[in-house]
Amino acid sequence: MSEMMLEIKDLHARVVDGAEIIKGLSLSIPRGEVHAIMGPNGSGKSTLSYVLAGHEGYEVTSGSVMYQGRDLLAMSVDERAREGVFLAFQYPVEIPGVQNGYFLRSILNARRTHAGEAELNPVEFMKRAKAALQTVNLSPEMLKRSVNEGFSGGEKKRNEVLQMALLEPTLSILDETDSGLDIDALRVVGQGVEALKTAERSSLIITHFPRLLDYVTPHKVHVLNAGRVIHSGGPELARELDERGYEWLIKGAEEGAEA
Amino acid sequence: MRRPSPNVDFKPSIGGGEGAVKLTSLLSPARRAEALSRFEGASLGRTEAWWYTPLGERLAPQYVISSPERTHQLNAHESEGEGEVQVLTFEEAARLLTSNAQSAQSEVGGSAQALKAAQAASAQLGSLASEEGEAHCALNTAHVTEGVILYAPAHTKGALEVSWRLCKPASSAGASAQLSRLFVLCEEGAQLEVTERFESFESAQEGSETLSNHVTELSLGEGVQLTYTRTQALNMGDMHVGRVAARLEAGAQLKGVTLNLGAALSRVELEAELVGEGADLSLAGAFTGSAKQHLDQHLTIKHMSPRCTSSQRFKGLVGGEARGVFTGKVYVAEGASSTQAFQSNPNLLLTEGARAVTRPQLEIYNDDVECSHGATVGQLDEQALFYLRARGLTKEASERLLAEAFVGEVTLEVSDERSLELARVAVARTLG
Repeated sequence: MSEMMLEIKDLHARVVDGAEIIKGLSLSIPRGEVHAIMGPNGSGKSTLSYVLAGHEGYEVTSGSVMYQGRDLLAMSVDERAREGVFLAFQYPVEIPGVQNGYFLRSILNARRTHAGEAELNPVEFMKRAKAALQTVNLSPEMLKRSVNEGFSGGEKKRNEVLQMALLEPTLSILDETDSGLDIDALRVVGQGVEALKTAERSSLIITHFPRLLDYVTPHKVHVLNAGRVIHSGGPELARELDERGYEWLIKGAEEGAEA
Repeated sequence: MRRPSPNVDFKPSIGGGEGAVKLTSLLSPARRAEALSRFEGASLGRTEAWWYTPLGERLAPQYVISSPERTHQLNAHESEGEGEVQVLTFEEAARLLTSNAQSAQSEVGGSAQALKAAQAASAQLGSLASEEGEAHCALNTAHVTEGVILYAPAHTKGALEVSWRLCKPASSAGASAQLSRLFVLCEEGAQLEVTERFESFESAQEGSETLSNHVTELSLGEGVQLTYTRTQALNMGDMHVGRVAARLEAGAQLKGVTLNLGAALSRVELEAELVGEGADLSLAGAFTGSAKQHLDQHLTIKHMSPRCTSSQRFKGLVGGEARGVFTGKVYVAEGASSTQAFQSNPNLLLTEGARAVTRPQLEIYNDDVECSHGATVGQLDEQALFYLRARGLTKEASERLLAEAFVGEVTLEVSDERSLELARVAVARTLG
């Protein structure tokens, strides 16, 4: 088993037939670690999460991404998910007519079948779902509603964390999951990530604000600007960014590039 | 409820032949001849109403061909209320109406009520489904050999399921037509559930195109509550033309769901006349197309009295090179004040080759109305597809989930398990 969970090397990616957004990004996350990526708006944070999840609207023009020693870019969107990559969406999609409970059971069983485990029947599923619902502070009523339809912003994000708790991903990528959340919801998200903080799993928290990092302590913090990691540091870097902003690093990076 | 024998086999011959002779007391030769002349007088060309479905021309050569073997199956559920709901086949009704009524009654296990049902049907057959200018309805009256009558006396409750099975003729290859009918008469305050299903008996073979021509007449007295489900899932080699004609008296409620799933070519007409004050009509429908299927839904809703409400929600899921057609005519008469009429027809096209035609039509002669209609043609939501796939569902499973969700709004109202199963199969077929 590879000790490196995710290894991104000199990645270049763009919107299909559009401008390049990721411009030579390199990043490594060892197994068992939680890393955070921070950066100003437009630095390529969300694009990175889409590229890692396999969105077909983006194309990788060069570079490589290895996931547990395997070529992640060669896998389809759904293959990546079944292999344990989970993207918590910044804007979870509403799916009218698809019952949330049915959806959750379907995705859990897709993952289980892929791992060679038996599918859960509705009774077994309900048992698990109810336990998971409690941890994210959602009512079982949410299982009967259509996926994310009419959910409040906080409910949508909790529903993302609920899926994460059920699927127990090997690599979780949280795309600004903390944006627009109140303190209670933030705590739920933080606990969700903490619960998956084991020696076998890793997480990548992509965020604009360091608030979420009050609830989860990352092993490392990376700063993304103009499609590249310009600085990396320990957990204390988040606090520093909160106080000083990004400018000092961006300036430093630009000067470094010129030199 | 009077139960007919659970399986009734029919081996009718052509109209005017043995089958028709058996039904003479129910449908007189004069009545049939009148219908036939209407058929011959009706335009079979492309009229406005048939613009997108050129079936007219194909009706003509069909009717002279002998009817093949056919079976229908009736399932009548126990009635819960007082009194009894009466179910009769056309043949049983005809026997009751012959001069030898006394012996016929004991044979059918009938009663004065059964005779009443037969008489009412004999008097009213064709009074709801107009034959004037409607070639296929006229043809149906002229040549129908098989039918079922459901009579719900005042304040009775019951449920009936009729499974129509279409067979290709044993003898001949080539085209043939089969004509069948359901007549439902509900008296004041009756509560009824009726399900009709159309399926082909054997797999279709090349060159054995069979046309099923079916008419359903629903007569709803005051305060009647009728739930009606209609599922057409014929084989791809077959064709279907059907008309459901309903008449609603004051305070009557009709909740109808049609699933138009099978057949190479199908036309399902729903015609409802809200004649009594405060009548309420709610229709939902789903149609699913794959390969080169052509599916036409043609609605005519007539608001004739004040304070009536009607809603129609028809969803089209079209894949392959199939075509879906929806026409929804809502007519509000001058005296029909405080009318509420809503209509919507969302369509999902799954392929480049799929087509949908949607034609909402309002004709309003009263100012005091609240009407709305909306029609859309779109594709599967790309974002939703990505979301589902990002959770590990394959592309195929994700598409299927979204397609099922799309028609789910309609199938949600269907309780008939067989119909739901047929719908699932049809939805999967649209995705290729």
